[in-house]
Amino acid sequence: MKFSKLITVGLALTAIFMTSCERHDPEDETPISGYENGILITNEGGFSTPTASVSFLSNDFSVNESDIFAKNNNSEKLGNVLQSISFKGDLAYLVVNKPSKIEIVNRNNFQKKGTITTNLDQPRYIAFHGNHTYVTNNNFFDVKKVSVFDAGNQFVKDIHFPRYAEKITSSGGYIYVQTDGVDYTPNEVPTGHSISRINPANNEVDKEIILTDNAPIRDMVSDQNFVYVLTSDDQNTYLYTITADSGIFNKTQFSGITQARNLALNEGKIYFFTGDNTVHAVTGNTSAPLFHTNSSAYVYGFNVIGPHVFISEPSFTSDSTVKIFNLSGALVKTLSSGIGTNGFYKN
Amino acid sequence: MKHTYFLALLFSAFTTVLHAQETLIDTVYISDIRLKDAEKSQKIIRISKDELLNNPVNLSEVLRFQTPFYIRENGRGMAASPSFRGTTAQQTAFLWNGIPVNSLFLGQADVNNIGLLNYDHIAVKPGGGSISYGSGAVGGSVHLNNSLSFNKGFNGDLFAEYGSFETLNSSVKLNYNTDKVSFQLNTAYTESENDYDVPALQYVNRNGKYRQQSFGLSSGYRFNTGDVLYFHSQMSDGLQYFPVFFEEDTKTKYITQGFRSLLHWDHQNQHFSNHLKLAFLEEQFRHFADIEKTESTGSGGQLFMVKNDASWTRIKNLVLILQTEFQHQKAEGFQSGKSNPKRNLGAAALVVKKQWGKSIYTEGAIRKDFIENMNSPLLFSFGSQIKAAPFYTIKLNISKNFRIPTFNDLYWEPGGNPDLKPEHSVQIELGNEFQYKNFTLEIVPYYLRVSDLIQWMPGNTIWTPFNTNEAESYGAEVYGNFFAKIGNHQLKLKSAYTYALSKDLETQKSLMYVPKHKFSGTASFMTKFGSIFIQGMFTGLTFTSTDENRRTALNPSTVINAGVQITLSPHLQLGIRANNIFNEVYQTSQHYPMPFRNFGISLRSQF
Repeated sequence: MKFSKLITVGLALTAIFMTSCERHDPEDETPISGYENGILITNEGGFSTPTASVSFLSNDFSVNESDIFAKNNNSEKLGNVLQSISFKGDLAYLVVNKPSKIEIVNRNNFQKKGTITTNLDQPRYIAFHGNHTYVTNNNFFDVKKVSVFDAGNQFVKDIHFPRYAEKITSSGGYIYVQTDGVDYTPNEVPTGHSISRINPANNEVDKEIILTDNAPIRDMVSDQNFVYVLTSDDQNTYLYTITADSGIFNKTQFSGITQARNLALNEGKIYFFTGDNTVHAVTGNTSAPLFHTNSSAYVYGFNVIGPHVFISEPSFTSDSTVKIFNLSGALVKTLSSGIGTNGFYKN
Repeated sequence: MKHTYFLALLFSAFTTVLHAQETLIDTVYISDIRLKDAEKSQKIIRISKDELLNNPVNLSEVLRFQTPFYIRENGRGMAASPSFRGTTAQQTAFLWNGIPVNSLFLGQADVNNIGLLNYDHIAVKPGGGSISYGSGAVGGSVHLNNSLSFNKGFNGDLFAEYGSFETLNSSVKLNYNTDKVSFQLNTAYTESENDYDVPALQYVNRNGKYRQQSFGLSSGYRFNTGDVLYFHSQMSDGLQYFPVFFEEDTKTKYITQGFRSLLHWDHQNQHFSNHLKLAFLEEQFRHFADIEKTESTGSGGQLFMVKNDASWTRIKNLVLILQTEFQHQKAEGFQSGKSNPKRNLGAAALVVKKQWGKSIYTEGAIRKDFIENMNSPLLFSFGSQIKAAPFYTIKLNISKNFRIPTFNDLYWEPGGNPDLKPEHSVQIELGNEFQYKNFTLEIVPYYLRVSDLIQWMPGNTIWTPFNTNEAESYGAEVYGNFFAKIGNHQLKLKSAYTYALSKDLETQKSLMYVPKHKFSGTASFMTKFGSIFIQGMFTGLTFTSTDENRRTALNPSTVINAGVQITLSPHLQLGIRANNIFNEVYQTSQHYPMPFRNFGISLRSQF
């Protein structure tokens, strides 16, 4: 056989290989100019895969753009687990729990402005005051702390806590930290049951607020002057309203409402979501069930933004489902989101 | 482990000391005797040592490019799991000289740590085989075999290749045999920094290092009477890092050590033959949750096995075989749950083979397994071969196969479910073999259904395995082979195409990591000055999730490899090889791209 024949055979073979079925490309969504008029959806990711992502949903729900971090940063992967987002001015801080880092992006175009990687150990939530950034870390073993960074994102100090460092929020000139909560072992009785206050003047804990029930802390949010803490167990749900500058709290008991999990603050009104998938609204010292989401799956993310309630029914191996209701419980929109959708943020 | 190996050495030394007296016929002895019989009614793909060296980097590549298997690999040389005919990794049995080597913990084989260059040949058998190979031989089986020869004197095969990403692949094989005694030493060593990057996907294979070494000794002794005694042993060591996606990630690795030994007594006389095998296998794992810290968890497993095949051929054209088997499985240092689980397993099978005239052959078999604390289904198989025309042969095989729960499935804490039943599967395939001159075409449509699939699912608060849904798979494999001799030159074409449709019968969705289309082929041309090969693989769209999500599916890909061997002297060959010549961006496991164009340069000496 001649060499030329061999080449022919080679080429023929190659041609056979090249004959392939239709090639599939991911749907091309053109990035819209800005993300200011809409909602950011955090998709936690699959833990063992780099599938954490942020989706953008326009206020009228007409644009649902996935993976806006990668899309605006040369396909860079965000991480394996995205825990939360907080905003400071034009910036959005994306707290990545695995690997431990914080990605800082412009909140309107999602272009990367910086990354914090030092002195973090499985970071969870973030808050700001003045020139300082406060990050809770919990490795569920030996590190439960708030890491403090300065305006240049340089590490300042760690504030360690004995049991927990979870939700963190800025209100009334102070930083409030959830320093107790539910552990991952079932039936664990909360021990310290405290919310701790950091004074930004010296970055020391200046107050520890001991809650007066035995129900685990579920969530904490704040507005300018008040910090709201939700606790619940199999009997009751409790709402603590802490006046931020004095640290004095007022406790409300919602008897018979069990397993409240998530808290939302929307247009001056408090909402919470219970384990039986009911949305409740709080008025004064009473709460009223608004509607049931009829979710057959576990509900993970919850928020109330403007006239809408957002919930997620997550999947950690494929796309999650997001359901949007109006405040009277009518399902307005169902859409698919990324892997492990865990939160909704008004941008 | 060291002690056992010392014993193995002693035994090998002993057999070589025995004297040779009479000349017997030259035969090659392979311990996996049931494989040849299976070929009557099923397809067997054989990969010779020369063909192995077209893909010397790891077993995943050999299987991917030279068989219809789909190998999902978390980056080159990393954790890999095979799947075939839409079955799971646990439903593919790996056999070392006929002895099962799937992990007692995970149920699947550690494909890239199982060795490659120290075997004489590898065979792949698509389809069920639990009658012969027990648990796990559902979708197919992979046979890693050493062979022993007699009367060939001293010969050797040395191979070393250095390639991209600081990869070294090497093996030494030395044989010494007389007409009575055979002795083989084989070693393989491979290591790689494996730090490739795929710029198109912004991927860097961080922490992807690996290193494996294995050392094997085999020996055999032929008595005058038709009795042959042989022994295989292998000691292996593997170090495997796990790739991480981000520089900030905690890097992990694991170390595995294994020891395998097999004593085989082969007895033949006019109407009766008997094969008795005693095997002892041991595996140990040490996992490091942080490569810079000390070991975090470790475990070990042991398997002791006795296997006997007794065949009677007293009646003309009728063979009766009684297969019996006993296994003792044991785990040590199992981190959680039951501290040292162990179990005894026994099995008996009766096989009847009959040749009807010249052109019809049939066989039937039943097998019952006796497993401690578990009910096991009655297994059966029926096979037939009909030579319908000089150019056309039909092969039919129907079988029921099973896979028993692993130690992890039963005892993992939290979550292990001691009430699990074995998975079982019914399968039918119909091989059509056409032969015209030097061209062979085989078309094998199949159907299989797996029931009581063991799946880990979120329970109340923890994940637990359950016998849940059923899966169904059907499709066809097409094999096309061509061989031509032109003067002193040879041209060889080998190709395999699979069409597979698999679905979960509950969700009615496709199973993940089962491409509908896969094609692989190798063309080689050999002259006395050397040889050249070109190899290609096409893989169709592959879903990576259980909901047929196209966004996360792997795109179709076509990968081309090629290589040339130049004969420098009668005993020395220089090889140059290039993989993924056209820089195809491809992944076999989501998020883990495979390397771009990479090279290897090798020397091989055979004498």
